[in-house]
Amino acid sequence: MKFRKLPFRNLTKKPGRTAMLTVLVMILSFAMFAGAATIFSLRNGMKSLEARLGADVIVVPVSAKSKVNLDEMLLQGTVGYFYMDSDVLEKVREIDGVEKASAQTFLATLRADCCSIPVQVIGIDPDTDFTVQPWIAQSYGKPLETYDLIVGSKVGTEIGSTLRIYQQDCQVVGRLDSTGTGMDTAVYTTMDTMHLLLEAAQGLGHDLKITGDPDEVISAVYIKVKDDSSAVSVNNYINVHIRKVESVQTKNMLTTVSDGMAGASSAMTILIGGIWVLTFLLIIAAFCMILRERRLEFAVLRMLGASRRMLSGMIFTETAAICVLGSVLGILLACAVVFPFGGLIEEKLGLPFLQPGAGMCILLAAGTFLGVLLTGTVASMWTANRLSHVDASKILREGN
Amino acid sequence: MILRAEKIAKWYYRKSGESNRFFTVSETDIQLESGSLTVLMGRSGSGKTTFLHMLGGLLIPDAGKVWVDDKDLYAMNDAELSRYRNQHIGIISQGHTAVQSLSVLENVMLPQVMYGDKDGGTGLAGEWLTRFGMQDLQEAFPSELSGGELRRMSIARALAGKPEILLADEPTGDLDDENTQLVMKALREAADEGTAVLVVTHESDALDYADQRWQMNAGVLTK
Ligand SMILES: Nc1ncnc2c1ncn2[C@@H]1O[C@H](COP(=O)(O)OP(=O)(O)OP(=O)(O)O)[C@@H](O)[C@H]1O
Ligand SMILES: [Mg+2]
Repeated sequence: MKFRKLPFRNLTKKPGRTAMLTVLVMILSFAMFAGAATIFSLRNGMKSLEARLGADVIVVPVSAKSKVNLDEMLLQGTVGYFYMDSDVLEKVREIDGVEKASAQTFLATLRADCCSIPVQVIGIDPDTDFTVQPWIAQSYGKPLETYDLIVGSKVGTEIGSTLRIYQQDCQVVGRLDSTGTGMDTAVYTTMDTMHLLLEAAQGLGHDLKITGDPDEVISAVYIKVKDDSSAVSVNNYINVHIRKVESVQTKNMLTTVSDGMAGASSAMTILIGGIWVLTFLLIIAAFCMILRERRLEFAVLRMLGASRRMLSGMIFTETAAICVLGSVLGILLACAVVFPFGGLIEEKLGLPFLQPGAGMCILLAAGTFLGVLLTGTVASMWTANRLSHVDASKILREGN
Repeated sequence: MILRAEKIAKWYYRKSGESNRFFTVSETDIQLESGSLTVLMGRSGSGKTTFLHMLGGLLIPDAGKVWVDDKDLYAMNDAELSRYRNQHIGIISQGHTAVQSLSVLENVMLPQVMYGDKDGGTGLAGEWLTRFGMQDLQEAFPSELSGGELRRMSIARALAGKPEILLADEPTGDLDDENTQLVMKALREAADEGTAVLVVTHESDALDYADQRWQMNAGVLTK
């Protein structure tokens, strides 16, 4: 027998006590990791949203406002459609300060035979589009042919299968990476295909309220402003000079989301801070409470010649071992819960939620682990120091 | 080896008579010599345990000094005093003093492995357990032992280290006559082999083994 092994004997000889403390640490590190992962995912989703949106200003027909909530449609993937004449695009392109402008056309299918959810079909111009095309190029790599579709990450259709939209057979040729935004539930195609679909829809008797030539309609113009110009002035110029359209700055649009984000994320941060403080106090309280019943044993060790330092070393080893075990288990549990249920969290929060990649997750887990470990270590040190100052004489005199 | 207490005293603050300073042990001198067995009798609450703890380096006296030969016990720091206690002083405490996670044999060997972690044989531990009739309980754990067995275990633990000073606080309190004799004989033997032994007890049987006899009355030591 070696004195160094005593802490481990103490742990294994009292499995109930050890398990109880381990579970406590586990719950606390679970809460911390789950919270941190959620905040991180939200931030990540927001960043990706900004990057994806890419446009500084979006122009839609005035009628759009009354039909759908624009933010929701563009960010959360609520389906909707509205149309305007394509000459808006030409007018916009002539404005000073506009670097790029590209049109998109929307069509909503309320029931496609593929999916139970309504799908937003978005037609883009592959040559000029700068919002979706780069991502399509990244995940597909070939030009889109007529009736080719790229689906968002959450559309439940296999690549290679056929999607029937207004009785037109379309080929699903690719899938976008997850963005945590409305783009995940949309389906993308070229303008040409979109016009064929519009005709088909009208042919089937759907009144899309298109004024003018269906081949010439667009739903929105996405504008990238030159670096040396201001989005505000371009936005104002359009609102004043181009008739029957509404121009929106994406920055303003994003504020609703980012306000929600900031709210959720700061609430989470406060929560995590609180949990952390609580963890610290709870660990100390639990350790002290549970170890107090061993006061007599500690006093005996002192009587037999263990120095305060040896005693606190023993207590520290025990508590630190529990902290390591508990935090590892807690993080594993959190991984098993947070990641599979990310979608549900997104839905409940109504915010973009993009899970960080594997590397980032490992980093996050390592960070939480270190955090809990550090907390546990300080708590253990405090407990050990406190309990190693037992008044051996008093405890032994009271005896039994 | 001589353990010498010089005017040691311990007091607490509590209303008693006109003063609120209450002496648990009044100013006391005592000398324990190598090879001699001292018996200290006294009523419950008279201050025997307090006195013994002060001699054993467990309780700092409020006045006076404790010397072991020329070493001032309480001038040492905690690490030094702890090590000194481990290597030179054996204490048998009142009450049950087992380490629950260790087997009986390991409990008895514990003081010897505290420093240096030497992992050599069981030494005297097994021998003492056998003498106290506990050879079959070596692998048992304290929770499986009776009160008397726990007591004999802690006596074996103090003896196994062959201490130069042995302080026993009511070592035979919960033992039957046969075991009391067994333990007193063992303590006598230890004294004969050169240990300075102090036995605190209620039982007058112990007086038969004593070289020195003391009486404690409300904190005052008399012959
Ligand atoms: N820390 C303390 N605070 C207050 N009073 C104390 C303290 N320690 C001891 N006393 C008091 O000192 C007196 C002597 O206690 P002590 O334990 O030394 O007696 P004892 O002779 O060993 O008694 P017993 O035979 O019952 O073991 C008691 O009255 C006790 O209440
Ligand atoms: Mg006593």
